[in-house]
Amino acid sequence: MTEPDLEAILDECLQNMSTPGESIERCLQRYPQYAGQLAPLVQVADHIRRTSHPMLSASATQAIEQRLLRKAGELRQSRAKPGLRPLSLSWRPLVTIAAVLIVVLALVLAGGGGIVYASTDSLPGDPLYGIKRAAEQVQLFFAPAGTRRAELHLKFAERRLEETQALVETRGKVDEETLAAIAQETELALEEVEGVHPADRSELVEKLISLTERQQAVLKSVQAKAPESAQKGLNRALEASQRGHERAREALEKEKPRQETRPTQSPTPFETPKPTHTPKATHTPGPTKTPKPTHVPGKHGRGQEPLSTPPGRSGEVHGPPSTPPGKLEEREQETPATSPGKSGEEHGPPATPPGQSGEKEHGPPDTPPGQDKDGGKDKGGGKGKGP
Amino acid sequence: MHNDEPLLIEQAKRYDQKAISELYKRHVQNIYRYIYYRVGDVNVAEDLTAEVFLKALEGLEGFTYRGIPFSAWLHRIAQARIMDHFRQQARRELLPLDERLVATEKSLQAVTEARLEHEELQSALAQLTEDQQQVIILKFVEGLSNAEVARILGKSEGAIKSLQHRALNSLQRIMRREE
Repeated sequence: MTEPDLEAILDECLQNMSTPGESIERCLQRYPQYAGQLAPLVQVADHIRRTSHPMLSASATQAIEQRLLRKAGELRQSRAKPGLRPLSLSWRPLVTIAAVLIVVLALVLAGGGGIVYASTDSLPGDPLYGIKRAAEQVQLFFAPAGTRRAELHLKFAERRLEETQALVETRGKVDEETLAAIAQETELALEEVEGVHPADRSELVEKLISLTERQQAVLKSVQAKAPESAQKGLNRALEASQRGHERAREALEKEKPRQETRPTQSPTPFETPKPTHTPKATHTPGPTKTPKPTHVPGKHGRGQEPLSTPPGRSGEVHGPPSTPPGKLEEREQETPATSPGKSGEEHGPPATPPGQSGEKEHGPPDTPPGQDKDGGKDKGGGKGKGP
Repeated sequence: MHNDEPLLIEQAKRYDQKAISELYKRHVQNIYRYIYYRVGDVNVAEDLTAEVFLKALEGLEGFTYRGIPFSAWLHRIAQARIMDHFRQQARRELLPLDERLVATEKSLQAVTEARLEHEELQSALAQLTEDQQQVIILKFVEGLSNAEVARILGKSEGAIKSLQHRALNSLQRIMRREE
């Protein structure tokens, strides 16, 4: 029997191994004259199949997933051209936003601007408090993604903190929803910051650190005055604030190398915290703001389609922060960061997968790695092993 | 391949988080095992796995089904990353002795943590040629068909059968010698 025939019989036996009712023995019985040659080979294959193969640990699986989703967030942000709001929205937020817009605009047009203004000092539970929160939604609605939105979330997180402090000092109570909103606005600010232009990022991150530090100081002082029933919620808020603080610190660490290569940029201090809730006489609520015609509503720029492909979209701006320190970063430096899709490569066969573009630097362009002829000397797997 | 994979890919191209998570969860273990058996180091395999999925995400926009399944595309990215790793490691061998010792100690720790079974198999696989290793891992560790392996390696199914035969022959000799 020729080699190709033996290869075909071996393959047949290997395939049969995974068929119910088939076995190595049955296959070998069909080719008794080759059983001696085939048996050890099939047994090796069977041994490998039965080996308990390694699994990526749950923690590593989760950590990579988080990095992947963060990267997706960055890429999504970079797709959305500033000033051009994405179009596609699910119906529910669209209806909610439209309803809020109608109510707030109606109030303004009916001479209710004063009501909106008066609501700025309201606290949770007050009749006008809903107007205050709706006005904030309108501000967010018209704010372009990136720096402006991040600043608004920071501002609203600060407001919720002031409200919590004012509530406990003037009424001796704590509102759970407001506490949760502190964490939520901080989280949204953090997410938004990840997508802003690197030039603006450091300043916002500094503000976030300052905000979360202040949150913890204020929440601890509130905790001392709050009733027992509110302690659990305050503890949760403190934990959330601590997490936000840590994330902001990590973000700052990532920014440091970038800052060192740029001219000095002193962080702008965040506005001085107000110890008590005081009316802001000069504050103009959002609803009176003229809508930008190029914007279409969207909630934080997620799950939305840009109107057109934005120019200048690339991994240059958002790539580095997601690159882990150490080995991966080194690899990125060695392999030119040709952004996939930019080079015009397609990804079906004979497509070049992303990251393979860098290969060409190391060898002849027509010889992709790992495509050497069998028996070649490229035994990459032999390298890099632990003892 | 799952029936809904093309739809998930389309959603993932719009950076839909659920779709990205789902695709990741479906393929991460296979990609990890493929990389682990090639590099033989848990830490490196984790790093490279992360890199494969990040690269895939960046390039997803350009991915279209043209006879190549998504998993095959991921394996190709993994293969490119593995080769980058080996090149980099070859350069690292030129590092001063102290630095090399640190790297070796780390690898030693990682490998001793790995299960003996994996270690033995990985050690045997390392003695095969590049293509033979790939065929064995893709066929018998990941359970892919000849056609799928052929697409990943850019070879004919006949070439895969031939590689499989030679690889198993070599492996059984190596394993017998090591017993």
